[in-house]
Amino acid sequence: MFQLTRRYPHPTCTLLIQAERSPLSKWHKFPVVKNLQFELQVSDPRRLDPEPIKVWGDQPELEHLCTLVQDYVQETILASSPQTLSLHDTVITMPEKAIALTPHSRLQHQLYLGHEDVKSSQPVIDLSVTQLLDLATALADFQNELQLLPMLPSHRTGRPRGWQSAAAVVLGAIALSTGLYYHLATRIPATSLSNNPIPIIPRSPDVEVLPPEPPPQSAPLPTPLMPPNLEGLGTLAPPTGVDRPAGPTAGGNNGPIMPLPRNEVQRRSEPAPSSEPAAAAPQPASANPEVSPPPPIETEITPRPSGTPRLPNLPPLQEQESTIARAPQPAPAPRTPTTEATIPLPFGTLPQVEEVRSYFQARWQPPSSLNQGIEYRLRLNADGSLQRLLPLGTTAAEYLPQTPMPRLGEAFVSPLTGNQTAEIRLFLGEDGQVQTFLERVGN
Amino acid sequence: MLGLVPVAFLSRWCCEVKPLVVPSTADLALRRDLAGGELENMKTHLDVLLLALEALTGAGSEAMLNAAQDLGLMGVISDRVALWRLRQANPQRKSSGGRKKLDIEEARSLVLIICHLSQTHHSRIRRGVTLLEQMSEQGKDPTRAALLGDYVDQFTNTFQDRMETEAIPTAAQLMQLAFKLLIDLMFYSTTNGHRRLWLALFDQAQS
Repeated sequence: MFQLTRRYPHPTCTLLIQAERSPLSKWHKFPVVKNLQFELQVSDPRRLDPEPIKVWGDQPELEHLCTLVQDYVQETILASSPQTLSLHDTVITMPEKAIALTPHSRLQHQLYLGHEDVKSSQPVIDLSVTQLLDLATALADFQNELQLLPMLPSHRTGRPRGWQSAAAVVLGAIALSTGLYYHLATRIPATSLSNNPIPIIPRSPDVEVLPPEPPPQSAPLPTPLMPPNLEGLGTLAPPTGVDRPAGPTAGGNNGPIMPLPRNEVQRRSEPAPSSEPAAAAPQPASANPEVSPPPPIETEITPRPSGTPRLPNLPPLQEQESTIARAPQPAPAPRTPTTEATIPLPFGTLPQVEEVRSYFQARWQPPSSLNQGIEYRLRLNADGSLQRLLPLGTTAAEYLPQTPMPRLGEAFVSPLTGNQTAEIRLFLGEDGQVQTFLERVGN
Repeated sequence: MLGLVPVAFLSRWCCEVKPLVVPSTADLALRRDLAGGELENMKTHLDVLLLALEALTGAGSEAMLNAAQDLGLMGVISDRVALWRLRQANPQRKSSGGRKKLDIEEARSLVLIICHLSQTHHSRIRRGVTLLEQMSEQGKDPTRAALLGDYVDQFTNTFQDRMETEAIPTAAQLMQLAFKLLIDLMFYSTTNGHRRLWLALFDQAQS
């Protein structure tokens, strides 16, 4: 059995496949594979975040994704009339299906990955139409090149037919009688050495698998004694358990051997820039794990430092590289607001940023089971209503129903000036803290 | 039956070859019988797609005939006159006589030609869509980007020149149509593009 690895790179989406090549490939034009695992890496050239969004899973999930994407392209984009989808974003509602693609406009689409078997570093992915093209093409390339073996159902449904039962009984009887014959045949010489009849002792099946008893010891084993200086010490209490992160568990018999999503612990453990450039340039807030959430964006607009900036010491490259198999995922560190918004924006602030904060501050009741902060990206319409909502991370998606999120299209802050739209990042802390950051203003 | 043995045997040695999707009319099976009106819709859609390609890339009848030659379709589209008569099959065209009926084999050939030309000009088509995304994201008029402005102008002018007056929509609708066709052409310019277009033709023919 050969391991087969394939990579389908496209400008904004790369599909990685790892599978076992079936011996049936000899008889087919295309390689036939089974036990397939995949990883999709979706990058957005419009974003500054160099880390691609990752989606991974097994063969059924990939087949599901292929069907979903190809059908969506065919029916929603190509077969629609020009008037069906405009070029401008429209309000959409959250889909009911676990995996779904929904159009915002002809140019913008959202991929929801709420299926428990499809793992993703981001449960809702915004896709431009060119990203959707790359995704569809990567999946089509894969479909054209590889042929999947049909999966056998894990549980047979229905009762076996009569002839199958009869055949099983006959085969069982033959196997039993043959086994008994050999068993007796091998025991006869041993019994012939003794004149005493062997007592037949009924034994439980568990005893059969136990190893034979060791020969009796000639002398009793010495009992270990505690050194006198340790004898008086008490017994240590067992360590308290570590809370597992709430989230979908890896299901089935296939362990997650594909690369894990962005590792927050790793990100947080990045070394801080050396103190020398810190004197000349503002130090990134993410460098220190002890630092509290960054202040609102408007306070971070600092004048560009004079002099030649020096680059901070970056971690070795191989730590960030994606590999097809990686170590198990460490427990997530307590989440603090990400520092993406530390980039100075070419505009000031909006009163709506504070209004959003006040709205959630008055309503946010952190659930007791929430043990980390959660973040959302909100896009506001010009009338102050919510146009789009993007949970940032799995936990944020999971706790979305328990947040006081206003409905899409329902105005909850004052209208924006002109015909502006705004993107605001919302941080809801597990301790009730609420923070908002202005990320983008559009027209 | 015996004739199959060498083929199966040969395929053992061919399994390492990475298969390429070579577009062929054999991929374009007739999904169902078409009603009269549906075939008319298909003709219109194919002609308008060629018009969009022309407006964006400047690919005229010479490029289309070269594509037909590359694809081995000279039996169907042998010369400039045959191509012109095929495009005239669009019922929305200003009639100048000589209109012929488009049969299904000719529709298949036009599908392959459109996808072939789209692949040839994939970079320009993708650039156009990326510009459209950027301008839309920034809330700007897409036609302010030179590539898109020229494309929409060219498409609008050619459409108005060649189509019957009653078939010409408003300028805003024409622009919307031009951008939809641009996005569609991007999808037709990739793997399986000809299959996508063929399926879309059937879907749109019903509407």
